[in-house]
Amino acid sequence: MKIFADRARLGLTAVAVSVFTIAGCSHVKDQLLQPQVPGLVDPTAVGNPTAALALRNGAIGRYKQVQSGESIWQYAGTLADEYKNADFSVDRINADQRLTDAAVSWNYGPVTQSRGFIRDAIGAMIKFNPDSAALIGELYMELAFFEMTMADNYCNGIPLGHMENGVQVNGAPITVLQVYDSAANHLDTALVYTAKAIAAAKTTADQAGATFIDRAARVWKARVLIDKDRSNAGAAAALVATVPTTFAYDMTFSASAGSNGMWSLNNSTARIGVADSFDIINGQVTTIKNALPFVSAKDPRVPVINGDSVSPKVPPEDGVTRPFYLGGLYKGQFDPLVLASGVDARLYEAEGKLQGGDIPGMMTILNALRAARPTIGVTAIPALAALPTPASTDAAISLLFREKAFWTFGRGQRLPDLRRLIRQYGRTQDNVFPTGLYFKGGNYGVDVNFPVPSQEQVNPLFSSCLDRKA
Amino acid sequence: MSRTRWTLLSLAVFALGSTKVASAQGTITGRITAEGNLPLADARVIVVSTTVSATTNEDGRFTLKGVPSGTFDIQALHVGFQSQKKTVTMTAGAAITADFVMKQAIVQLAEIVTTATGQQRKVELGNAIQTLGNVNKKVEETPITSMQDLLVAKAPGVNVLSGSVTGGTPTIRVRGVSSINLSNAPIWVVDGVRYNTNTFGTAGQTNISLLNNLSPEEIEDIEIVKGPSAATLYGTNAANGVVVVTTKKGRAGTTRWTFTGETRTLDDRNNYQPQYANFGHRNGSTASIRCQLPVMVTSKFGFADGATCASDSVTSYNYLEDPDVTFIKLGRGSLFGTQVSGGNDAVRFFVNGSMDNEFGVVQMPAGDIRYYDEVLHVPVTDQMFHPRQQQKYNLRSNLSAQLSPKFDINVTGGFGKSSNTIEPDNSLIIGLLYVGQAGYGWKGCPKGTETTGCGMTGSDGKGYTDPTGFPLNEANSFAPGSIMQYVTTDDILRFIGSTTLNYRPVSWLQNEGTIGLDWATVDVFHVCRLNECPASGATARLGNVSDFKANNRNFSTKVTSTASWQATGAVNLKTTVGGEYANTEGDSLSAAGRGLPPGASTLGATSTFVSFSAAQQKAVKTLGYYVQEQASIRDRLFLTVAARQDQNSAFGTKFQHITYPKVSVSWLASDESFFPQFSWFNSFRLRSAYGANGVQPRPTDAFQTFSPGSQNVTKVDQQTGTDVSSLLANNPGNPLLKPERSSELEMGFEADFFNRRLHIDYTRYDKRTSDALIQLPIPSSVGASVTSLLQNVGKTKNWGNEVQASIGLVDRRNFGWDVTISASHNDNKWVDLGQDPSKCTTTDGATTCADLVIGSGTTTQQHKGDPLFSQWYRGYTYADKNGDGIIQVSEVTVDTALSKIAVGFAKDLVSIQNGVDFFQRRVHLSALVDYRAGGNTLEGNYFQCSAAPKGCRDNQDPTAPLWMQARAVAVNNGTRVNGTTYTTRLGYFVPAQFWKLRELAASMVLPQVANRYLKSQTGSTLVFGVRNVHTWSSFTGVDPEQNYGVNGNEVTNDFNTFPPPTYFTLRLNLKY
Repeated sequence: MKIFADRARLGLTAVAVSVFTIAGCSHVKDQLLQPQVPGLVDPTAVGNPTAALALRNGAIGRYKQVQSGESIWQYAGTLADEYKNADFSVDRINADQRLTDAAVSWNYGPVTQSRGFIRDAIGAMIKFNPDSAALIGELYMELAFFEMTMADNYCNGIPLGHMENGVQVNGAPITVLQVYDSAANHLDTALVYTAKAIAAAKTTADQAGATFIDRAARVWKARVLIDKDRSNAGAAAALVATVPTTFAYDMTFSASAGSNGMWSLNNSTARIGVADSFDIINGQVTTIKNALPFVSAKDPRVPVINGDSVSPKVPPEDGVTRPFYLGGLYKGQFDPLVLASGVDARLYEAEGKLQGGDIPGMMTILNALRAARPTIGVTAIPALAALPTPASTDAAISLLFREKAFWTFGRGQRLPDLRRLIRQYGRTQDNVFPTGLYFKGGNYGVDVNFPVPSQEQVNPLFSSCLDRKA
Repeated sequence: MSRTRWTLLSLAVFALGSTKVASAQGTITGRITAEGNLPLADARVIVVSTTVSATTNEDGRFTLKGVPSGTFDIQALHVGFQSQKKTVTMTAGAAITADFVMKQAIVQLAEIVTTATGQQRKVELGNAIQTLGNVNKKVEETPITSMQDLLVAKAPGVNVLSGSVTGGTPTIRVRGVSSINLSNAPIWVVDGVRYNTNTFGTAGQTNISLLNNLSPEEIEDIEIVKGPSAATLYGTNAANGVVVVTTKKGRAGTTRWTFTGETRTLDDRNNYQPQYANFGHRNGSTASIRCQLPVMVTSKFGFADGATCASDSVTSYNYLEDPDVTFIKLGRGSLFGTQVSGGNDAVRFFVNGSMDNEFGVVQMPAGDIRYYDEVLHVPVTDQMFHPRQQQKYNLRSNLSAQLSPKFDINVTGGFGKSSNTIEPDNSLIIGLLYVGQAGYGWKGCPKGTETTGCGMTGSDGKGYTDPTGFPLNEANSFAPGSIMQYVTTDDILRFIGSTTLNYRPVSWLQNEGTIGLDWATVDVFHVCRLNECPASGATARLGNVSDFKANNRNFSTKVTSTASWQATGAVNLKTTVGGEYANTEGDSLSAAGRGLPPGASTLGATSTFVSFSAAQQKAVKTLGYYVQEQASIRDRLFLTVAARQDQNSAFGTKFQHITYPKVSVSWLASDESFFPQFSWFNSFRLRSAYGANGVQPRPTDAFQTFSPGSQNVTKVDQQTGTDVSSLLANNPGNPLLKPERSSELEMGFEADFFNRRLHIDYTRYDKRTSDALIQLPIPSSVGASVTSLLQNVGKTKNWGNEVQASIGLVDRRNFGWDVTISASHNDNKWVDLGQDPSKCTTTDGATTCADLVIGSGTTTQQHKGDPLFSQWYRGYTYADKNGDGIIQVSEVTVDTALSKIAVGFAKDLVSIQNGVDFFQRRVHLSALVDYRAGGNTLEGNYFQCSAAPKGCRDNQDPTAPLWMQARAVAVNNGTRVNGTTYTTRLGYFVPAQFWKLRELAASMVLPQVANRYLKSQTGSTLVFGVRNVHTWSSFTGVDPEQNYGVNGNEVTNDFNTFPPPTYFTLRLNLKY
């Protein structure tokens, strides 16, 4: 009987302990398992006007995607004649050599993905801050900027999809010209918002802020119009007539928000150097056909510093690229990069004159700009001597694009301009892009843009570029 | 309460309620001796089918208290001796004596193992558990300086890729890999506490592992629980195996002291490859230029054929092996340790203290030191002189107390401090190995170029300097002495402690509770003082400091209750219920600044803020319950059924818990009466186990998150901006996210032959992982916040065979020879990857989609039916069509498409442990041979051949084999098809097969004369050992074990990573 009693007592004790333990654990379970991530920002925090502004700020920060790291501006600058490779990466060497492969990402993801963050911000701003017309207009303008960037740099066959309530809506590949159309439409929307903001402005500061964005949108609309068809140059010129030469809409930097990526790649990590019209190949000076003399022209619009005059001296990352030049346009890591400017506006006006057959008119604008002593970022450009009027239309075209190359150096405009020379002005790529011996071995290739990479093939509507034409 | 939990509770209640209560108890005492009446300390004595057990003291005596009435088998077990059983009949209040004289086993096997539910006899388990066994002997007698040395090549199926530099991080895989998104590393449990083995470090430098805070000196045993079939009750995250470490405990008896002193020398005996230079000229020019083989003129291939360079002479130079300039020198290390152990039957203690210092094989060259002395006039600091160092201090104190016959307590505490200095070794440009392997191919100037200048000498005849004036002395880009100014220190403070309470209220019930903490603080500090370090950027020499501080905390607690019941005379039941809670959390802060005043070296002294980041506290918490029922039938057939249910903070909000089942059977068939009896066939056990386990997602994978940040927004009409706070959508989250679930079926046998001189242990396993976490790609063009979404959609399969044979070849008084051979083969494949929504077709209203491929178009791809991490390269062919001995560009054809080639990690592992005893076993020789095959490594240094004027044999030396020339052409030149150039690195992705004489050691028991002189006791030893003695391999790089992606990278790459050096150790163990 005693055994039985012991057994019963112990059994009941075990049951009580087990039940108490498990019930107790259930009670504190939530606390025991609750994720401890105090820094986590979850969806409950973003449904208000302040959060919408924060999303807008985050979207504005996406501008950096075109120039930081292995960026499209860097790749495009080397594929064109602005920069030359000075590091080991086979992919970056290939871009410099005009040998591009769809297996490489070519910074496609961050550029096209930015459109989604901007759309999110637009949605939040319209919902929570509908009266902030200037800021909403700026976001539409930024959306257009990324579409313009894609059309400028990638092949025909760019998909423009979007997310709708968390569901992906894939885009079919469209031509570069169609992408420019999409950008133009978004710029039109931006201009509607900025006009509304200017009209509704109650203070001088509000009006200045809205006008500031309006001018940038006008400059990009003009650029998109011209990029699409040179016959639009007149309309483009009219659009930017009110933009002063001193105007600049910048990408700015700070210690907590990141550095000027073009400065980092060239001046700091020395992965790219300012290119010239010749290279030393096997110990011999070898001219690179079509390449502009960005270094040897000693043009103050493209200031350079060679290794001997820099303290401390900076060698190229690969240790062997010679000659190697640091750009002098950006003096420090937080110097601003110009996204849209009055200088750009004048250049579009000049092209408008060229398109109208008014070469003297074009020269008047260009020489006025050379005398205007504008500032590019933080670099003040001294007055430059006037240029003589070219004798032929062909020479005028070359002159305009040369001037534009120096005025817009390192700002993502050279590659689309070289493409335009082929697409719009009928020149062949052998007479536009760097051609002949490549200084790291072999010859330059034939690519004039970057492929939409094969990573996009997860889009069922996309298989490859429609073509690789300019 | 969920149904599953009710089920578990009911089972537990049933089992507890059905246990037999025996109020009448007795005592068994005895003594265990070896033949010759030598007492055996630390032997384990158990009353079979009860929870009663004891350990012998120094004199071999034991006391078993609270033995219930009835007839029982008592079993005595000790590593190195054949176990013995005796049957006793206990009556109420009786005191029985049972002595054992144990016979030495020729093959030494551990028979007690530590499982999730406590210690068990190995014979009861249906799964394989690898026990290292007698770690103390291995540590004392072989050249072991780290945990990775202890584990490497010891167990079949366990692949240890050693970190090759002092303090470097090893990669450990048990039975291969089964996940592409989560860690494939096993978890570690030390004295019942989850032990953090994370790695950390600085980009461009070898990572340091928290694993190194464990000292081999303080370890009693290591068990490797290999897969889900064995690890079920360890709970979520144990699917990749569990390494169970038990630290030493005190031994009752006289206080014993052991003093250890060790000195070691590190010698980098690897054959580094020289650099080559091929000098020539162009047609019509006499100017000396560098030729590349593909464009070189030969007797059969002239300028007219399109070549551009005629070779005149070839030079070669091996910077790393030039004693005048190399920074590779002898390294040195030392260890001093003290252990003390003692106590009585009530209280036992073990204390260990050790100091281990080592500096690696990197040392500042004499020429650079002269520059410091004669030109810079500044002293060379110790950290610059020896930029690779490690200092480790370990202190451990373990206490065991029997507070009453029913109540024990074990308290363990280990404190460790380690400081590592790691030089930049695998960074570009400022990496030491980079400058060592990327030379120009000659020393000084080649003949004829002295006055015109050559690679390392200017036209003025003076040696080149780096941009700051530091003489390069034949190095490329930067002088080693300049790079060595780049100081990074990794400091770790570590505490791990646990308390285990053991309460046995009645003879059939044992309750055990463990609570423990593993706390590690990490500080990675980097400094380049003003005007120091290579001028790798415009701001590099302004002085810069970065500091990373991290806290990692693991809190573990578990409770188990085990009841035993002799259901019938032949059947014993044992029921275990338990619960476990584990909280693994960490946080970190890092900051960097630039601009230091002279002499300053702290973050606060910098003038410019560069970056700051704070990783908030992140935690993964697991709460689990389990129940296990074991049945022993006539102590020869053992059945186990168990289940564990886990809840975890990393699961999706709509996935609450997961249940893991387990079933195993073990049958000692040779004990059956019907089993054929042969004199040469001693025992045979069949076993099989099935179990499941999982690996949880990362802490925040399941949650929708937004990332906060700071952006700079341009001001109106100004060239500056304003910092504003920002948000960006980050992780879209997945409320259904659940762990990757692995289930494993293993079966095998153990057999003893020839008077137990030969023991064979074979296991076949088949592991299936479902709900594998796959990042399903999203097209960038839709602008989602991520380009892939983590989902549980994949299935993988992992299978293999493991065999271990232990052979006592000779067992004589004056000579003994035993060999243990371990061999394993592991394979894996994708069973399912889900479907690719982008590749669907609809026919007759039915939509079918193609299988998903991950990484299409890239080197690492995942395809259904293929192994995980398959490597894809373009193939190439070559032929010396013109027979000139030179491979031209036109003689190599590279495929345009990628094709599957091979995998990284080795699939076949073999190790041979040899032990030979001489002179009445006073001298012991041991050797460990390690073989691996089936994997490949990328010779990542190939690119250093690709940019002229640097060169390697592949593209400079006309006597280089054709295959060598061809692979350089394939990667540098490739084949052009329709305007696209196709290149391939395939020629550099080479088999990493090797045979390695891993360890060679000789230990000698000190003669009495020495003991008298040293006043030490018998058992003191002197040991000489060599580690990494020699490698036989067809690997075309330096060493197949170099691995740039140390830790976590399943595809190895030797890119600028130091190969392992050879260790020579001399060790004296004095016992008092």
